[in-house]
Amino acid sequence: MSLQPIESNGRYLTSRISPQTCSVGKVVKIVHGLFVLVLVAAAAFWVAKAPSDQSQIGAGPAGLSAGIYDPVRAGEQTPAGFWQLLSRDAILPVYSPTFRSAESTEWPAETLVIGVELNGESKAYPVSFLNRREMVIDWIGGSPVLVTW
Amino acid sequence: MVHRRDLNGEVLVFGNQGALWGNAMTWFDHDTGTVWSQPLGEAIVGERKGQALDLMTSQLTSWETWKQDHPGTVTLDAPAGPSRFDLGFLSIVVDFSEEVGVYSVAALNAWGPANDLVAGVPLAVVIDPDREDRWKIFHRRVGDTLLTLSISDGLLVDNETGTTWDPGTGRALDGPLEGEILDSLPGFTSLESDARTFWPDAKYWDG
Repeated sequence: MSLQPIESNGRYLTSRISPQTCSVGKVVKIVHGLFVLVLVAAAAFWVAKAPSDQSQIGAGPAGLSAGIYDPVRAGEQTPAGFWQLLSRDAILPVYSPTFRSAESTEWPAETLVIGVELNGESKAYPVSFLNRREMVIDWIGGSPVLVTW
Repeated sequence: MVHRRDLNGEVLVFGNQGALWGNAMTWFDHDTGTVWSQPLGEAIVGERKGQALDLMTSQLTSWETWKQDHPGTVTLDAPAGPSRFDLGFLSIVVDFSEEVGVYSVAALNAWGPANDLVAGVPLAVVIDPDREDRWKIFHRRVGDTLLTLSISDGLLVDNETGTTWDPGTGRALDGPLEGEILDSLPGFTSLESDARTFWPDAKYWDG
C-alpha cells in the first residue's frame, strides 16, 4: 500500500555516520558506501520491476502520462506531509487488465484478494500482485472502477 | 480500496503519482493531472481539488471465501503469492463523509457485531464467526423495523424479531423476516494508526 522512503533513510544514515580519520572510520565509510550502494540498487530494482510485469497483464499505455500537466512539478502548493518519491507511473498501473475464470485459477485457498461485485459481475484481485502494481483501471458491471492497494 | 472513477458523467483514467501523502499513495488523473489521495478518494492538488470519487463496497478476504460466495467470479490474470496480512490487526472504516466510523476487527471478534449509527445510517459491522476473513457492513433496517444484530450459534440473529441471518450474505434464513436480504454498505480496511491520520475526528469503536 505504501512506498518505503529509501532516499530519506539514506540521508538519515548519512547524517548519523560521521567520517573518522582512524582505521575504524575507514571501515565505517566503506560499510556505509556499500550500504548506500545496496539501497540504490534496491530502489532501481523496485522501479524497474513494475514495467516488467506489464507483459503479464495486457498492454498498458506506457508513457501515456508523458505530457500530462503535473501540478506538483509546476510548483502548486501541496499539503503538509506530501512527499514526491518517484516519477509518475514508475510503478505502472494495470491499464488494460485481462481476466480468467475461477475454474482455471490456481491460487492457493488462503490467497488474500480484494473482491468486488456489481450488477451481477464479480471480480477478484490478488493482494500480493496489487502490492507490486498498486492500481488497476477497470470496469465492473458496466461501471468504471479504480482498484488500488 | 475500490472507487468509481466517473465524476459528473465523465470517466476518468488514473495513474500513479509516485508520491505519498499521510503515508498513503496518491494518483493523478490523465485528464487534468490533478493529484488525488487514495484513502480519501479526494483531489488534493490541482484543478479538481476538493472533488471526490465514490467508494464502492469491496471485500478483503481469502480466495477460498470469495470463490465460495461468488462461484461465477473472474480473476485478474496475474500470479498470486502469500500475503503477509492479518485482518485481526486492522480496523474496518465506514466513511460517509459527514461522519466516519472505525471498528477494530480484534474488538469485533471479541465482542460481536457493532450496531451503530453513522451519519444517520443504522448499520452493523459483522465478522463471520466461521470465517474471520469475511466481514460485512449491513444496513440494519428492514422496512420499518430497525434491527439489533448479534451472533448466536454461528449465525446473526436480530433481537427484534428473532430472525436468523447468514453473516456472510445478509440473507434471512429463518424467522418472520425469512427471505429478506440486508443491504450491504461500503467500507474498507485500514491500520488504525493510518485511519487516525486521515480521520482524526472519526468515532473509534472498540467494543
